[in-house]
Amino acid sequence: MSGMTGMEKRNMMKGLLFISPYIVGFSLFTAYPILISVYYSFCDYSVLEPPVWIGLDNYKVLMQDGIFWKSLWNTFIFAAFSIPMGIIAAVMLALLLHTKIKLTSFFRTVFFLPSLVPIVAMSIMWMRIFNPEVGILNGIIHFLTGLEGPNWLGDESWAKPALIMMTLWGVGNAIVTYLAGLQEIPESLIEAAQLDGANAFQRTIHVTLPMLSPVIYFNFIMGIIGSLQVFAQSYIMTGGGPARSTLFYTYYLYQKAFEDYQMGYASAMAWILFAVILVLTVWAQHISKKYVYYRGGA
Amino acid sequence: MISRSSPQANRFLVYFLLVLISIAFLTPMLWMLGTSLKPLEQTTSKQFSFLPRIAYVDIDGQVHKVRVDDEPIPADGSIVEILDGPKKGEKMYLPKSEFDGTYAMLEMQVADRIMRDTFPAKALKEVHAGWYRVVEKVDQYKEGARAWTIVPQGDIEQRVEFQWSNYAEATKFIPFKNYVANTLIMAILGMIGTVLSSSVVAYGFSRIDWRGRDQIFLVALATMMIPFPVTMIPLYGVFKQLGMIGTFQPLWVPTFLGTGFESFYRDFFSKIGSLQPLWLPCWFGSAFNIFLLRQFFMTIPKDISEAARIDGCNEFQIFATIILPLARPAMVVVALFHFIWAWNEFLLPLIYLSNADFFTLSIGLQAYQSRAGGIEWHFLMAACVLTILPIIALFFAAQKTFVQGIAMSGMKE
Repeated sequence: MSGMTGMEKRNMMKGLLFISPYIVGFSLFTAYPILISVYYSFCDYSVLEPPVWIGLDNYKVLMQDGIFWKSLWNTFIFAAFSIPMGIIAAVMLALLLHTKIKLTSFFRTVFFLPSLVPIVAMSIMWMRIFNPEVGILNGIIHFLTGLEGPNWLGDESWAKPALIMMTLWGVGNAIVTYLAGLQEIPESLIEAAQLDGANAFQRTIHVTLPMLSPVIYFNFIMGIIGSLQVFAQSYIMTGGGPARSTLFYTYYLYQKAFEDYQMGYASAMAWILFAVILVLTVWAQHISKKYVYYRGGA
Repeated sequence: MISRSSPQANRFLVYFLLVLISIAFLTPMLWMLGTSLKPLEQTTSKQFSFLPRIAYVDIDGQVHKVRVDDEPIPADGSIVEILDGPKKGEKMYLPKSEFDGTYAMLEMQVADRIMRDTFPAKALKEVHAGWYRVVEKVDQYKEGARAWTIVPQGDIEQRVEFQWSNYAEATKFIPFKNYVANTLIMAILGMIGTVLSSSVVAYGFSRIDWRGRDQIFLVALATMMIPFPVTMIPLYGVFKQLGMIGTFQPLWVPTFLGTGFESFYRDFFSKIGSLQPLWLPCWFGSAFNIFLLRQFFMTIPKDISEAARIDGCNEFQIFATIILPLARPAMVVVALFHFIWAWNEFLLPLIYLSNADFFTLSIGLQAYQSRAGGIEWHFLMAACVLTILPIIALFFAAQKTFVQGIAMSGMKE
């Protein structure tokens, strides 16, 4: 603190005073848990007894754990489909809503409402929709095609697509961000492209989408972080089944921690999850340099 | 591809697509609403129907609300009345093979043996294969036999009837009020805490210049990258150490206000105490909300603070009387989003609440849904509708704030 003027010292004291609640909260609820979680990940810890240091054993066992790999794979598949499909759906709907038509606010509300539905209510509702016998989805399939629909949540190969479909229904949040992004595109830019002879499709591809790319990038990152932590849907709707086809990473971690009380093992899983998220976001950041257009070169 | 067609055709195409997709988006919710108003038997019926319907049939000259069997009767036969024997006076359906017009072939269990015997009987009504058995539907337990008959499908009158009573019953069936109270405690206490603390902290991170400020803020932002599963396991231990998990007793109870109030007080404070893990951490600021508010505070010109300082205001006065009133829109966004988060949150209460008395709506519904035995789907759907309704009402009441908030949190480049 030497070399600071009295004014600087006073300001520092004031600043620290204002952020002091956060320093307390951060230490208790963020920093300490993070540090101790690292320690737990190298321990055998069952809550009932104090943690015992076992070195890298948790990580070694994880590498051999078939269910761990299965849950990681399930999560990747879920992310690999739900993120791009969500982006495409939301961008397309936002583009449709951005055309100068009447009733825009009505349609916007309709698309947005599902994203307000709490995940538990949403899951319970879709369980009923996916019910092969009395659910409306198979009812509609039967009505339109005369065929019997699949046993969605009860069929190993249909359970994941079912959950992805449900996720797409809640895409309204992203639509609002794209609409906000579209509103910021200067009219003059579109008009200039029009004068140059670009048709609607070309204008969308060469002007609108690049201008929208920062928002797409933002939703992409949020999608990675969110879908790698998908939990409630499978916990409520399928219990991870059938045949572990919807056992997602966070759900397996939850099982290990709060059903099997293998806290050390679960902590190791949590850090691997962090590493995966980190790698994917760094990768996203990397590709964003090529595709994301920031106005003003920022 | 679109440019060649006329603008009118384009417009029509856009409308067509929007209407089609709107139907797809609305159908699940309408179906849930429909199911919540159906009678129980219709929720498990294979007959595909959006609207709640109740079947009415004329039985012996009187129109009854009825339950219709899922499957029709397999063979032609009769409804007969047995005239003698142990089943004397009973009315039953018998296929032609078991009733010849005067005698009925009945199977009866005597001790542990099945006996077949014939008894005199008279036909009451001739019925045909493909007809449905309908049984009088009674809402409460009723003395005596229920009226029934077998009729062709055409005789069943399906009236669209919304069973609004499902809602009242669902809230009795599921301890809904208790769940709502718990959820409100979690949401409101957390909301107040996060708005107050995050704005104080955001002020320290934006309106005062001090060495190391931006570095510390960067650390706070960086920890947002750490996924919740990392901290959720140690947090359990932290909450336990702080005495926040398990049954909580208020430190003192005012006994002078009468026992009615005393038990309310005890109950209220034990709820607040047991729900601590879900709201107390919010009182120390959350990185994301601090970030949002800091962004907003930084748009307020510095001169305003300087002028106040010259007028002799101290830092806290500047914060409370000048900056906070200006930052109201941002604080409303933070409050709204926190409330919705708390209303919807599933994993946190799932981990930190073990006693069903303190369940929030989300895990209360899940507990009801996953319990053993049959689920009353009409009640569960009614409870889901009731869970969604406040959020939707909030949305319509504060639509602008919503859109603004999503744009605010979604556009940080």
